[in-house]
Order: sequence, then structure tokens, then C-alpha cells
Amino acid sequence: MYILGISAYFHDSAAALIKDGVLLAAAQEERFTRIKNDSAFPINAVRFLLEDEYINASHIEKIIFYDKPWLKFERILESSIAFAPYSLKNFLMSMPIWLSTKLNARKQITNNLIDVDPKFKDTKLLFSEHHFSHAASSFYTSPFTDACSITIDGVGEWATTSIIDFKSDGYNYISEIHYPHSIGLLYSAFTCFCGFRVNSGEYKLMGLAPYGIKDDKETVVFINQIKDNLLTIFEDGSIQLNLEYFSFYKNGNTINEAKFQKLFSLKSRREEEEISQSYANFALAAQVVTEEIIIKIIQHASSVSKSKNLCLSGGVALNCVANSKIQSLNLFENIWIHPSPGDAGGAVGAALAVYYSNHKYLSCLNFTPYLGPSYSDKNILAELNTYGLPFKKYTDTDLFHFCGKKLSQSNIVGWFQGKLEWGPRSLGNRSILANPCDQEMQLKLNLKIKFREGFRPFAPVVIEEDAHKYFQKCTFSPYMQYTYQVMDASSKSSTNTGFKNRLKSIKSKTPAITHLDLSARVQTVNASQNDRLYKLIKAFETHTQIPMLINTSFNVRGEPIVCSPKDAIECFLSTNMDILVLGNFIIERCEIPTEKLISKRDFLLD
Amino acid sequence: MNKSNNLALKVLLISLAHFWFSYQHREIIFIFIGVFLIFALPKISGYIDSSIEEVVKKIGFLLLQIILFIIYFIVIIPTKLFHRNKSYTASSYISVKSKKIDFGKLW
Repeated sequence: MYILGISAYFHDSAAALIKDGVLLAAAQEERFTRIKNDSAFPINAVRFLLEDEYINASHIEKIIFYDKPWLKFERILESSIAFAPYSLKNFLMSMPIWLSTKLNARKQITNNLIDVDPKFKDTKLLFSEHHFSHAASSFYTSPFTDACSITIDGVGEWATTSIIDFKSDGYNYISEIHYPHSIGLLYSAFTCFCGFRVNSGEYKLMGLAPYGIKDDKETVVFINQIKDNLLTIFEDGSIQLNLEYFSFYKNGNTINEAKFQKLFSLKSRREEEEISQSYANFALAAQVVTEEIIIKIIQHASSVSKSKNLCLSGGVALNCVANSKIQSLNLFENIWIHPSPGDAGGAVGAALAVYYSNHKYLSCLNFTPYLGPSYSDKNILAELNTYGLPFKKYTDTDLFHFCGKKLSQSNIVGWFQGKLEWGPRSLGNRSILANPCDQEMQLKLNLKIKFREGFRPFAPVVIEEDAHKYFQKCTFSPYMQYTYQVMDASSKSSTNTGFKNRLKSIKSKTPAITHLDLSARVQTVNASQNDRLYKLIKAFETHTQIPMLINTSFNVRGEPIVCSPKDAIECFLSTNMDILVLGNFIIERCEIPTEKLISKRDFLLD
Repeated sequence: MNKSNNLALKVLLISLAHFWFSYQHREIIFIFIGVFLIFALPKISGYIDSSIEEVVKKIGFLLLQIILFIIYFIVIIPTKLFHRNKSYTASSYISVKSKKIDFGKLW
């Protein structure tokens, strides 16, 4: 029995296909359209799923959308009433879209599906709930038969936080926090104030926080101002926002800028404006308060749930610093976070939720995040010939040896292998890999390869059995969802020096992946999880004695992760990467005629 | 311009020519010239057509905004009088213990 799950129309549209409760394939629309966080109906993703499984619409028994549009409409209408007359702008902005298309979701979704295959029928269309889809994406891909599932995000229909107890034969809702009181929207407000884009720049705020100075008077004041004025944090982790400081319910803006500026005596930062120490301190304060709330929610959930297993989902579950704090609490014996806990993951959750509403769940022990399109040697070769690039084809053994050596010489490698990863992290199939021992590599990658802010950290991928030698208490982290302290690392910088100098002051065996707070967002890898990446790191280890590489997503600023060989070649030609590896084909930058390189390219802000 | 539109214009041109020869009304020749120009200058007529559509869309959107504005003032604001914003003292959790998802419904 095939079930098609769909998430769309907000951000990060995606589609997923399951058969008899097993997740077969899933992909985000942005990877095909090349529009980051694309919210359009996932036509290309659905087309890929059907082609990948050699089926058509008549084979699909059920189609499930990840949320309930009418409940969302109810929330918008009720919010308009609750916040009248301030809600006029929001009302005038949202109603035309709802009345013209979104309210008639059944017709809209069916018409979109008919564009893919005319055999799609609306009688097969079902609707899940936003937070239930999130929770299901986590539980029904977990290795547990029971778990307490916590979902925290901006907002779904009404829920902004929800606690659900899952068992193999069903679920029990426990409690929810409802809109407008939202931890996700609070974090987005902090993101917006620091000049990053809402719904995509939250991870930058998290990356900026370690540059804040914990004991600085300004940071302490920011923390107190947030807790005293922006919200009330109750003992059980539930919150009540002071809406005077927010505008998301009024006019589409996230914050009341004037009030924020007055409260923090700090100007709201504009995109691309220089980041001063005050913004770093603010980012740290935001992170501290968010962690405090999340920890209280986890403590509350552990007291009301009967399970010893925890499943986390929702956009807030992408906050790997908070995830690590949760892990260190030891309130739950086991934790599982789906590799795509955000809205895209809702497509997987919705499909699995409808299947397991009639079937018993017996845990998933072989989950893989490699669920997207793959390309054969023939496809790669055709693309290389189209671009007229000089290339060599290596055997596996020679490939790992060659790349391991080149990486040890601080060359930067674009690594394109097998199936595309599911979720926002590159996990070794569409990755840019580099030497973590090179002190200059962090800045080089940021400024010359990714064309992004110099302060942004890079994550390591480390051989699983060696992880504990390099990262404190790190044993298993296959999806880059936790941070760990780097062993034997230190930093002797003065807080008065600039960000760049502070990064240079890090003393560590692997300085390029050691963030300013001496932590790293670790991915562990073993041979069964990703054999080719494992072998490459082993080859690198023979040259450096370090079983670890920098692993960053194969893209440049403002672009989604590359999907096809064509995307990878274009990305390679427009950046300063040294080597591109497509399957077993190797292209070296030094062998490419200058006229083939793309020298000028515009980058969208992200 | 697609084939059926093309054919429709040709039929219209022939009909107008027929009416001109039958009735000799002056207005017919103006319409004939107009239709002929549309037929002969597809790029310009396409541009005019999309501009008209754009303007009509904008007028439609404006009308909808006016209607919504009126609804806001005669429905939303008065309803607010009966609406009380929730305030929490010890917790903002809402108990949803009996909640079950009905996948068949849009709500």
C-alpha cells in the first residue's frame, strides 16, 4: 500500500512516499527548483517519487496533506478578532489568498497533483494536523515502541508546542501551548532583531551566540530584559508572550521594532550590516532564555509522560545547542530526532501517521536519511560532456586514496555520491569536505567557497568509533543534531579583539571545526551508514592521523544543497573549490580552462 | 495566439467583411480595421491583452480589499466586544487529552 505525504504552501515544501509503513523516498522541492525554502506545491518532488518507484498515481492508495487548512483559517480569523483593530493589515493581507485558493485546499492540492499525473483523484486525499505530522515523523522513524513526543515550532494550526505520548498501537495527547504564545516565534523575533531572515536565519543566530560574552554586563542585562519584559516563563516551561513587543499578529512583521530597540537600547540590525559585539551578546541571551524554556518543557514532559524515550520535532529541534543540553539532563534514557524535524519532515510524518493509525508500529531500526534522487555514471558523464570539462575516472580504492591525500594537503573537495540527503544537513552525499586541522580553513571556506558571513562555524564528520577520543561524551550523532565539547581545546583570546582574531586564537588539534565556545556540531559516521564517506575519512586518517573531516553542505550562500550533477558542476565552477568528485569521476580545478570557470555570480542573501 | 483564437479572428474578419458589403454601415469598417490590426500585430495585441488583464486583476483585488475592509469594520471589530483574550497565571498549557485526529476532515 503506497501513501504519499505532502507538505506545502508555507515554507520548505516536500513530498514523501511510504509503502506498507516503510519510508521509501522523500525530497524537498527546493532541491529541484533551486529556490531556497521553496513553498510551492512539490510537483517536482512528487514526480521524482513516482519515477523512483516506477509507479503512477493509480498505485497510490492515500494522499495526505501535513496540516488542516480550515483549522489554520480558523486561527487566522480568530486572531483577527482577538487583536482587532490592530489586526487589520494582517486580515487584508491574508484573506485574499485564503479565499482564492487555500480555503479550497482539496481542489488546490488535487489540481496540483493532476499536473503531475492526471490519474490523481481527490477522493484519496486526507489531512493530518501540523504538530501531529511533526510528532509522527519523529516517532514513526524512531527505534522505540513507545515515546514521549515533544514538538516545538512557530505555529501549526493552533499549537505552538505539543506533548504527545506515543505507543506502538496508538497515541495520547497530553497538552499543548496555543498561538500566539510560541517559542518558535520568540526565537524568530530574536533572529529578526539581529538582522537575519525569519524561517531561514535562525541557525545563524545560534551560530552567533558563542561569540557573546557570558559574564558581560550587557549579556546579563539582555537576559533579564527578555525574561522581565518579553515573556512570562512558567515553572512547567509554558510561556506567555507580552504581545506589546511583537507584531506577527498585526502586520506580518515579526517584532515591534521601536519597542525592542527601546527595551534593549540597541538598534535593530539590518541585513548585511556589520555584526557588533552587542548583537553577539544579544544572540547569547536569546539562546540562554530559549534553552531555559526548553529544559523546563522537557522536565515537565518527563513528569507527565510514562515513557523513558523522547522524540523531538518541530523547527526548534534544529537547535543543536539546546538538544545537547537536553541530552545532558538525562531525564529520558533515549532521544530521537528525525533528520528533518522542520516543516518538510511533516510530509513523512503525515504519511506514516495515517498508515500507523491502522497498524501496529514495531520500531524502525534501519532508518536512513539518504532518501532523495541519485544519478548513474551515465548521467554524470553526459553532464560532464555537456560542460566540456576534463575529468578522470578512478576505481574506488584509487579514489579514496587520491581524495584522502588531496584533503590532507588542504584542498577543498566537492563530494557528490549516491542518494541526496533528506533534511537540512548534508550528511556526506552532497558535501563540501575539507581538512579540519588547517587553522585558516574556517575563514577560507566561509569567504571563498560559501561566500557567507565569516563568523559561521563548520561541522566535523568523524568516524563513529573514534568520536569519543575527540569530543567529550560523543558516541553516536549521525544527523548533526548535537554539539559536543572538543577535547584538549582552548582559547586565549581577548574579548576585545574582532571575531576573526578570536577564531584564530583557538588552540585545538582541529581548529577549523572548533567553535569559539570550544564546541562542535558533530556528525558520526560508520561503514553501514555511509560506506564511501567512511572509507574516505579512513584514507584521510592515514595521512593525518585524524579520523575526521569538515563536512559542510554542497551549496553557496542563498542556494539549496545541490541535487543533480549539473547543480554540483555549476556550484564547483563558480566557487574556489579545488576538486569535484561526482561518483568515481574527478575534476580538478587546476585542469579546467579559465574560460570555463564562472567568475561572476550573484548570490541571494539567506 | 493559439489556433482556435486564430480561427475565431479569421471568422470574425470574414463575417465583418460580409456585413460591410451587405449593409455598408460605417462602424463595421472600424471594427474590421481593429480586428485586422489585432490579427496582424500579435505582439502588440498580446501586450495590450495582458495589460488589460493586469488592470482588471488590480481592480478586482482593490474591490476585494474594500469588501474585506467593510467586513472588518462591521463584523470583526464588533465581534471583538464578545471576545476575551486568555490570560494565564500558572501555566499556558491546554489539556487536550481526548484529542484524536480525523484524517478525513479539513478541520
